Amino acid sequence: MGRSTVTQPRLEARLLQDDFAPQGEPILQTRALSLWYGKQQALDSVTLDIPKNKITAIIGPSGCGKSTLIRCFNRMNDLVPGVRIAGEILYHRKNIYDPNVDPVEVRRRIGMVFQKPNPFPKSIYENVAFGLRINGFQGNLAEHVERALRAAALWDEVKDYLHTKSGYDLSGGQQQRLCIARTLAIEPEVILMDEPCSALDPIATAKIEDLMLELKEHYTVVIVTHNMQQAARVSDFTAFLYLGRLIEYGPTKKIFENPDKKETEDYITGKFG
Amino acid sequence: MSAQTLPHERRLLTWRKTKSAFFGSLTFSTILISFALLVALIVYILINARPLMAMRAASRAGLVLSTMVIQWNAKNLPYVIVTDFVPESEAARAGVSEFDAIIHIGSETVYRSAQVWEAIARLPQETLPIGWISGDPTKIFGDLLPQMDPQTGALRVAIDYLPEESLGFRAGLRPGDILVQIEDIPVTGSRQAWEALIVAAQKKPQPGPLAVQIERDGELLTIALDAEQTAQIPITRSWASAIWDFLTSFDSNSPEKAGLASAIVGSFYLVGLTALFALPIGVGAAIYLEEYATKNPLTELIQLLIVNLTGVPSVIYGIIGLEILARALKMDRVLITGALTMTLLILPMVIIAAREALRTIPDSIRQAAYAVGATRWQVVRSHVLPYALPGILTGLIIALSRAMGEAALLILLGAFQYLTFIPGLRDYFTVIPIQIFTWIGEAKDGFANIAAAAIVVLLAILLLLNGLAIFLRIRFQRRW
Repeated sequence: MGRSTVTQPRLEARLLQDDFAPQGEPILQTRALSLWYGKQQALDSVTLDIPKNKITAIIGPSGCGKSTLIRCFNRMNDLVPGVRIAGEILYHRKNIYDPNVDPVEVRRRIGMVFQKPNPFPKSIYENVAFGLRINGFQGNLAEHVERALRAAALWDEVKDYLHTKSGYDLSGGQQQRLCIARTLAIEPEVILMDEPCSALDPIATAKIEDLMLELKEHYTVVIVTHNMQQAARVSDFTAFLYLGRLIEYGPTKKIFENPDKKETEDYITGKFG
Repeated sequence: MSAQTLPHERRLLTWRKTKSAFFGSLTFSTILISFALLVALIVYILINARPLMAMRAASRAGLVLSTMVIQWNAKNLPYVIVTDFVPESEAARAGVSEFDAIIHIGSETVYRSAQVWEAIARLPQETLPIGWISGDPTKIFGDLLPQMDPQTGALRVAIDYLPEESLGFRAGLRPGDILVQIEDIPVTGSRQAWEALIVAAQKKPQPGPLAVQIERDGELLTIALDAEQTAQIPITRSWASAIWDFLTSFDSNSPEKAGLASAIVGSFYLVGLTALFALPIGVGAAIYLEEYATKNPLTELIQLLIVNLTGVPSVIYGIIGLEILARALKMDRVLITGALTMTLLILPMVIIAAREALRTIPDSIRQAAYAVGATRWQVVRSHVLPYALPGILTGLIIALSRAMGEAALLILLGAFQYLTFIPGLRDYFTVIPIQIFTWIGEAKDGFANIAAAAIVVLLAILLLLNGLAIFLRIRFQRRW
């Protein structure tokens, strides 16, 4: 069973060793991923594998780089001015930071749900259909929108006003599920969730968590969370980041019950963070 | 730390309170004073525009007036004549014709045309009692012949020929009579005889016979000449038709007939074309700067220049339009050149407003669109631009109302025109502010009044434009 504390001198060896990979076929792999915002380094040689059809949680105290890391997976950080990235992210063993790779193509395969629900100020239907339209979807749009909304467990609540209500008319939890439906509509392989429940109440959070467990069947889910109970409840694997470094990575049960590293234990037990 | 405030903190607090009260009151009084001034200005303008209705009513009744001057003993004596004969008008039916001098309204002597309009404005009934003297002296005195007095050698005026239907004949004048004086005014010339009649009539409190002293066969006789005709002229007073006439007629030498039609059309053409040019260029530039451009010295220089351009006086833009567009590119000083130049003027404002509007769209929306695989252009076209559009349009309308009121730039571009047609794109043109400017410069009575009326029209249009901007802002404003 792999665990991972990457330090510079051991980097090369670790790249070859590949013992940090959790069980299961990896779909996303980071290789010595470092990232700088201007002069400030936010990620320091992060190397980990994300297994397919599992939920991987990334935890860590504020400012540890967990959001930065998850936004690397679909090249969202490209949009931030002054970002510099070193290392690789392999998606199906292909580097998504290769100059030949179109970030738009990456984002069509690797969807993302954001911290704050951000529906478009358009009708519920248009919110879901937008991704399909721009991706040149040929087929029954309405049927596909319905399927996405059902998959996001939102259909029954909104089916009567798909066209009359704006995404902004929904409650926070519904908005977030709408955002998930929007992501599901384009049928990505991986869904990245950046603290998807931080703006939601416990009931809405529970619904989203149930949804994640259902999504696991067909999708690979990566979730960043502040909430350690949530990580413990939903994730199969957990990565602990601290000050831009990957401190420990392994099955969730092990990370929470028997961590190898003292920092992990201190964080899990609430000594800091 | 105790919850109690320390003495120096309390002093600071009091000082802050006093300071804010002072600035608060200063701001308040400034706003109050500006508001009072604005109200005073508008009231002044409205008072000046008030005779418009009477002017239009007079013009419809056939009384298009002009104030003339008789030079008499080194004095200028004003009198009012009808400058324009309007067939089929009420005045024409009453027998008033061109160049007739209006002497009395009721029992008031008229010296200036403004008096006629004031009288019309406060008429208790719908008819105007006027007394006038025919502008054709032959209808009164026949043909006058200046001749030398054989004894004294002085110049005197004799009646050479007098038709029987003339007023003079009916009053008892005969050919061969020598006009000596009218009331107490000596007659010294044939034209002056008519002017003497006017001046003498003006001295009477109301229309009535004038004492004309003549010399017939060496004898001095006094004849009562009823030169002044009177009539009741029906007047239809209506604000609605006055305003309609004012808005739909062309410029004229007579303020009663001059209207804003070409200026309004010119203004709307100009502003519409300017919007057509400025919107795509301005929004395109704003999208580039906000959504595409990376931060580098060049884009920062561009931004700095755009901000600076808003402070450039409009005359400078006018010179650019004149020298480059009108002369170097041989576009001539026509409407389309004016619109292009105006575009240069408002473009920086449009760009800045559009950038502000684009900036209010939160990044989370852009990210949401990117995350479902949208390209940059798809993000802009499907989301950022539609959501920012109300803000962009608001900014555009504010900039356009600046263009609507702009005069200096267009004077250079030859919008200083006397137009009696609706201008087209390749025509010389005029706009409301310049029309106002032209009218204010006219010496004739009444132009100042229609200039004030035109200011009211301009203000109303600007108010509508700004109201539209406010409506757009309130109706489509989105809280993110």
